[in-house]
Amino acid sequence: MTNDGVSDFFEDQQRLKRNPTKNAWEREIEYLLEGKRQALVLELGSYAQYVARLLADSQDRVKAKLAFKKGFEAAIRSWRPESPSLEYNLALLELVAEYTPPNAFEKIVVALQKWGALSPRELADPDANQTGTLKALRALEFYYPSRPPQNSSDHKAFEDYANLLYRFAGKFFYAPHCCRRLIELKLLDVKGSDMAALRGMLEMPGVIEEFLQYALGIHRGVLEEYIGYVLDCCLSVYDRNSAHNYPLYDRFKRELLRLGAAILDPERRVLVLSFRESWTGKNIELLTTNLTFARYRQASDWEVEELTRKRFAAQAERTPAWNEST
Amino acid sequence: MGAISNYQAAIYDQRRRADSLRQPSHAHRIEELHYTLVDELRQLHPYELTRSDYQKLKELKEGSSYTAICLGSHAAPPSDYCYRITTWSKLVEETRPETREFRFATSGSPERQIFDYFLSEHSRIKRERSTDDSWLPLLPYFGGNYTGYREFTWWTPFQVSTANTMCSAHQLGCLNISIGPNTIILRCPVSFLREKRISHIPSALDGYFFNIFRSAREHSNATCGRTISLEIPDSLTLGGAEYVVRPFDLDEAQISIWPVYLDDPAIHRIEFHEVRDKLLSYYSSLGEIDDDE
Repeated sequence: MTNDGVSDFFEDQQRLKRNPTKNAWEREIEYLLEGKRQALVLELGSYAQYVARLLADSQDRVKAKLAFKKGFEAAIRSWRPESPSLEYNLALLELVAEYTPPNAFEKIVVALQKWGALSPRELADPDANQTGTLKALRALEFYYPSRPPQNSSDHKAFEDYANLLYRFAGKFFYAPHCCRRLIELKLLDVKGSDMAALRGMLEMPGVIEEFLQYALGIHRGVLEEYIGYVLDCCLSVYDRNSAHNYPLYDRFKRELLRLGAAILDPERRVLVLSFRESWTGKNIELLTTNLTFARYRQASDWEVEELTRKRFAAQAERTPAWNEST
Repeated sequence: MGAISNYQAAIYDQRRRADSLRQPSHAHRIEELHYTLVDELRQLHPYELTRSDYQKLKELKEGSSYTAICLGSHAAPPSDYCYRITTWSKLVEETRPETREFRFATSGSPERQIFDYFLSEHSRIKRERSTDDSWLPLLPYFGGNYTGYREFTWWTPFQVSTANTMCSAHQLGCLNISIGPNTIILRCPVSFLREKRISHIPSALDGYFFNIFRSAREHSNATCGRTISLEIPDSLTLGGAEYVVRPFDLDEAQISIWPVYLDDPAIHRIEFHEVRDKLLSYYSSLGEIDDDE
């Protein structure tokens, strides 16, 4: 009886820090993915933090980083997404998202194209399938945080990625991620021809919510520019069977409130946001200064009333005020 | 010390003996955990368990020794705040999944992006406030029921140095390998712990899965647990006070955070091989020591 595979852990670790090689790192990554370093992963919170700590403590960091890179690429080369356990795949995808090894992109894309999931084994278990596949899609995101320049050499890879996003955007569980990415990468012309497609996606559960979390959160990037268009879309969906019922608009509003917005002037139908009241006034000011919400607190550049008047003049009378159904 | 083939196993044997002597009322549960370890997990010691071991432990029934937590006396520190060294991913993992509420970050956000954001936000506040108090409230970013892996988390009133966090961690009994480079220090008002009566002196059962843990002697006047300071590896001494805290709501506790990037190549390092012999002698005499805080 032994503490299998980990009894020499501290010795392995010392060797790796003193003399990092491709083979030593490949072996360490395999232990990590197999769950043999779980005690420390629990201490640190993630596989990525574990690797980062070992790299940071290496005697020669440059050598260590290069050895890790090669070792990780070698581990990816021998990886067959269909074989290992879901936990193994999830751990590997976490490291892929963090370090984006070039050879992982193709493996993930091929698996998703071929099976419509990361692994055919997971198809038998819908929950596991969703977890693995969403994690795979999220890992791919880090290869294309933004749209690559036109005519760039990896245009074909980007095209494959875009096709995957379109394919998975039609499935409930993946729609929030894929729709947000399609907008972010400007693959969807939300200002013009693709408004109907956007509307269709927004109707799926979680899509509006994920869009707002990213557009108003720390990742906002280009998404921030599209808030108005998404709101337009939400306001354009009117439930004719029920007066004053704008289901998408209600979801939009609900998510804003969940994110900490307070609607201060319902009478004017102006979206004025402020933060939660549980903090001291001073804290509110300091915390909001640098966040997107702060800009909207001025309320001059983004008014629901204005949007409604311009684009939905005919329905303006029936447009609900902000304080309805809140 | 002669050649020891498995230090962790040797440390575990000494620890188990010392813990049973210092906390006799938990001796039978310590033994029960030991049999689980040996018979079911087929392991020599509990300090390097694998993913499947943890899975098996999680499946143990309510009432088993694994779920016997926070059995030490209720106690709250006499300070204003308690601290905990963690990382963003650990904070999220230790929050009950169905209660996790991501506000300005999302569940798919990469840790480095969130951490960088915290760092920049923190520097801005520091600049603007021009005081040392630049803790960020956690509320705008994340909320939920903070449980820890085993339904409790470790906290210390020892003021964790934000300038020299790694040395503070050593004083709290942590090796470098267990401190993430993207560290987040959590701060919790003690008034909250007092009001809720959720903080306890750690028992040997709480510390069972850690190779660096000093159990408080039962029926002593101890008002807290004490860590083993590793800061000077040649001479292990008593470190900061520590408590275990039952699950609580992060929003209600008004937790604040302080991000610290611990990536300095010149950082003070304490590694296992530097303390293992000393730990063995420390534990071998711990059972007999009648020290009390």
